[in-house]
Amino acid sequence: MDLLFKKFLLVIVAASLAGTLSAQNGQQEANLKAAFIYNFTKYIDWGSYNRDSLFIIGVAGDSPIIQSLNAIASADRINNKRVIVKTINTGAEIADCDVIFISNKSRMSLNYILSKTRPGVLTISEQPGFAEAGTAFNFVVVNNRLKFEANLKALSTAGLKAGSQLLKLAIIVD
Amino acid sequence: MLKFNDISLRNKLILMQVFTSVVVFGIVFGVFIITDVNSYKQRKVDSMVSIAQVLATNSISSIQFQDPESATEMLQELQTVSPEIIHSEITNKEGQVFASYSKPETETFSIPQILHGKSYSFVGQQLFVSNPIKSNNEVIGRVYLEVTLTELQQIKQYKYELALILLLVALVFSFLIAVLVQGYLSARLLNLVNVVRKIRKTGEITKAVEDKGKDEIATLIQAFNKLMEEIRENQKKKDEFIGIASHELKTPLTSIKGYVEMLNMLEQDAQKKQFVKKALNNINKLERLVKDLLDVSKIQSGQLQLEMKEFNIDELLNETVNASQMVSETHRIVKRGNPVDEMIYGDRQRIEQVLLNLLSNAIKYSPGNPGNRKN
Repeated sequence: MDLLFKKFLLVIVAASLAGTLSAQNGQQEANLKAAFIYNFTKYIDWGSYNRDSLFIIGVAGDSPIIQSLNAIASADRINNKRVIVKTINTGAEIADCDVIFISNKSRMSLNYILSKTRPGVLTISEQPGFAEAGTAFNFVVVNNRLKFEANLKALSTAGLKAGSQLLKLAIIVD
Repeated sequence: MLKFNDISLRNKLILMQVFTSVVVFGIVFGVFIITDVNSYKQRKVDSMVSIAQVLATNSISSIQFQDPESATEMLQELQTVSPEIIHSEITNKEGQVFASYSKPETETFSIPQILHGKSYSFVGQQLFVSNPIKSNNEVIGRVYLEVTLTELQQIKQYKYELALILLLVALVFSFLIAVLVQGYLSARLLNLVNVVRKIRKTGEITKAVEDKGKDEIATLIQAFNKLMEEIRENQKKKDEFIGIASHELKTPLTSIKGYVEMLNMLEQDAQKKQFVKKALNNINKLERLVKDLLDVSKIQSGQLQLEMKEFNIDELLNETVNASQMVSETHRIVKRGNPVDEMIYGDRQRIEQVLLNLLSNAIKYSPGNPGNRKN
């Protein structure tokens, strides 16, 4: 295993040991979220989508998570594909992505992004109410712990299937 | 203490068979119990390892998404499914406890220390099981289970009780069978022993001992029969010899006695007459001996007939004492006691013979002069 990735995992463990998000700075939180996103992909079945040789993660907004995702991308593969992380600023850039992370620094509106999202794209956000608004997964903090909401309707609209092991941990929203 | 050699053959045979069956059954039951207990333990290990595997699979996402609550919930649910699991624990990659659940009021152990990397271990009444949590071939944590084996104790006790009961039944059966079977072997030997005892007691050689077998006992019985046959033949020959000899002796002796008596009457010379008298005395002795021999042969051949009649015992006593006194010159016979003056029923001649023999032996085997008593 790559040394960097090992280091990265150590960071995650350290974060979990710390136990609370309040004690972590922005980068640590970003690392944790990136790890979650990486783990999401293990439980998501893209079905007939995602046929390219690359796995592209688009991040809307200038978020520290880009750095964390890049660390993973350089160490590991998703669905046995090379991982590319890119920042998206326009609706046109959304089309190529397999995963879109809508950070709280996104300058595009949620509705705009969703309207540009084609089936086969996993949408992940990090603001309260976004899952209800239509993203598949949304990070929330409950009791100082990072949790995630899942919108099953959004998932099925996107043509994706999420594993039960993932959904049992999720807070299901409509 | 009772020695094995002192026990009768019959009981030895029974004892041997019962002992053998008890030992064999004991070994068989022992092996069965051990196998049973081991297979129960193996089944328990198998089922607990599979539970641990299921737990491991189900806790992958909990570890990946840092959600100990869901893992704890799962462990709690496990308690209702398998109450024998008294402590369960999920650790993360570094071995720190990620989620755990213990049944209330149970003693728990540090499972990783007990297992030392083994996948399972029995400690006393506890079974400890561990299973790795793997994601993409990478170990991200471990599941540990502590299982109490109260059931095992019950099973063991049940098996022991069952074995004990079966052993007792086997004991009774083997005893009954032994009692029945030993008869075949021992009855023939005991029959022989009884015949030998009877011969020793009565001195009478009976018919041959019957036996239909062809084994060593049969050989023994045949040899015994042959020996007895030979003894019987010898006895018969001896009896015949005595009978013939005494008879053949008697005839010339009677003739000699007649002539010597005549000589005794005719002889006038004192010195010669004394010689003749001595010869006559010895002839009488010889005649008595021959007569005794004849009696013996008669008794042995069963031809002796008693002449039973009533006679006075006092008369007989006086006569015999006087007769013996007349013969003896060195001894004085003293008769003590009062005459009973009674008639008794018996063979007078034979009783007189007995008394005379007793007195003559008394005279023969006691020093001279002192008086011998006769009551």
